[in-house]
Amino acid sequence: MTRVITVASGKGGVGKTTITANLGVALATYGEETIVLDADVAMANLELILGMEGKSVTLHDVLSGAAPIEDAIYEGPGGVKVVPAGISLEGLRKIKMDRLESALEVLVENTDILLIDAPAGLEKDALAAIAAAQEMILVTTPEVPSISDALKTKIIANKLGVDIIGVVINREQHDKTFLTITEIETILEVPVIAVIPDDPEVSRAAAFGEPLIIKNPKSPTSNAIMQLAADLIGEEYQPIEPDKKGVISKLVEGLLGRR
Amino acid sequence: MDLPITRPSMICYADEIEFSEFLKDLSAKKHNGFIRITSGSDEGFILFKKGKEIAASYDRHSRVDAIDKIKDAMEDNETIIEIFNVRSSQIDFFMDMNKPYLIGSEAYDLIDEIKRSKEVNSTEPEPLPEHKTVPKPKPVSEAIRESEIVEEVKPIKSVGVEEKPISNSVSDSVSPQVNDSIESQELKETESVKSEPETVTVKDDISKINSETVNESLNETKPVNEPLAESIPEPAKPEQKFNKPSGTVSSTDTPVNQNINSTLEVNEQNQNEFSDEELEEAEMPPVGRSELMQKYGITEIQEKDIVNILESYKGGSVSDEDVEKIELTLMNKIKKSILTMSKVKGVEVMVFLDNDDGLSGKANIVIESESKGFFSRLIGDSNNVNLERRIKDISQIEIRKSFRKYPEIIDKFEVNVEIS
Repeated sequence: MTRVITVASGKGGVGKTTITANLGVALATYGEETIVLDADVAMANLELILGMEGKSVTLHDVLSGAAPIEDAIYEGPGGVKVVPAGISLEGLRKIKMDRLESALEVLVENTDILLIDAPAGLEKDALAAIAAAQEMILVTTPEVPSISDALKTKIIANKLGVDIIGVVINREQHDKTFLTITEIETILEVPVIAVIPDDPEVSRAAAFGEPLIIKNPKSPTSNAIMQLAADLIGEEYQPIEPDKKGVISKLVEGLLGRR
Repeated sequence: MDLPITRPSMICYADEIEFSEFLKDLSAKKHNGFIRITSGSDEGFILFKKGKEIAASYDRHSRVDAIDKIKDAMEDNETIIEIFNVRSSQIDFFMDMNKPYLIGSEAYDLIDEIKRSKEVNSTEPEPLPEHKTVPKPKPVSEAIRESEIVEEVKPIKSVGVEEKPISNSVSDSVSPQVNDSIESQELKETESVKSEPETVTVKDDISKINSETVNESLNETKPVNEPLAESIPEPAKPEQKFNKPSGTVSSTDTPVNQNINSTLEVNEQNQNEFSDEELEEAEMPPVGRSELMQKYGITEIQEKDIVNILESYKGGSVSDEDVEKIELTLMNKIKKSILTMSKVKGVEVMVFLDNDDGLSGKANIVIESESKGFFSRLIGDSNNVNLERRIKDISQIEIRKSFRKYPEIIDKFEVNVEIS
């Protein structure tokens, strides 16, 4: 049976789309037939992170009734399938979020996991993305506003009958300024399933339009996301150790033409 | 003090501000929040309520003493001052959490005085217990931990070692500085220092090497301990961090040397295994959800707001039960309205809602009109047409009233009228 998992946060800018994109690729690398759907029709970023911008048919077209959902599915990095939202704002007014449900019915037919990147906030489009799923992953940073919004999202999701798998704490900095993992778990009353460190590599990978787990699989962020994906499907994951060679030895090897 | 460290609204060095002016400024602004003063490894807080200083701590000092120490610390240019804003509703909660630090708290003043008088009394006959004085009142959780440590130390006394040096050494094992000194001294001077029979009597069956190690560590700890007890109070944080490892050691009823050696081993292991933050987190007493929410100013979403949010979402949120309720309500409303019309003798209303692809509906209305007179019969159906139109209008009005916020549902509603 297909698992429909929405990745939501409440607050915007906490790294929800980055985690969804990388998690989708990670799940695909484990052999799971995975579709990542960008339901953030107003602020679509998933296609930028995955380097898939400029697709002719997008979710915009599907929700405005101009195209069937099958035409909006594209092959992404690592074998993940992607339904981009479409960056154009032209069709935004024609969109009917009610059409999302029927579109999802088609998507789940030949898929193991459908990951939905929900918009921030609790507007109609965000609620539609949450209500469409059976399970939800909450993404938050360890800051008060982010946790406050995550709490609201969690409560609403519960009311809509969605199971919360757990919380992913993004941009963890080991800083006393922020809330601890225990505090976050206590406030949200949901287990923390992954802690992703603050990593400048994430922004660099996004700038290249490449998912981090492909661009830099040895980074702590990649390891954390791979572990999360493994936990979601009950797989074992052995973290990849970063290279212990020094910069100079790498430079020498590079100069000598070795790999 | 226990206060939520979030993002400071301002950070500056001591040389950038005039402290008294700074306090006046906060007072003038009726500041609700607190400031954190960091000077080297010492940390202090002043809590403000409407600009008034209501609680203070600095290192191991509290209240007015703490403010004096903070003023001293402000003379150091490297001292950092951070301002944190909190909601006025949170201040009372912080006051509750930090009662020992409240300025003007008479109960704690009294406790301090009693402690001070005890200090004076105890120092007169015996010079040694000086280091045991605890000037700062502590939260209950810390006090419990300390009492546990004292209890756990007791079995060591029965081993046959003189009380004073051993109690010193074991209590020293709590302190990180002393642990460090023990480790370093063991490394450097294992062979050079001899045991002192006056200070420690070790059991016969204890091996020579171990006894030397014990004596060395005990002897070496003394000079560290004394100046510490006399002048510099231990920083609070390291003490907390190392409570846990030392506590595990004293729980075993083993000879002194084993205790101390294992203390060192455990401390070494823990230093390797746990980061400072992990230890600190482990030491933190569990805080309730409501306290945490209050601490960080997070409010629970109200049931009314949840309903409003969910109402704004229309796609697929209407359950079959809801549909039945809507049908029934709408039936009664339409029926009532129609019965107010003249010429209507009886009415049956059936409402059917379809929730499959968005909410749409159909209302079938059967009207029994009053018996027509001869003249009306002559006029024919024109009256019926008028009646039908009026009934449709009334029904539409009721539907519009019920689904005022959902115009798309109104558009999808079909009304059929049959007059008999």
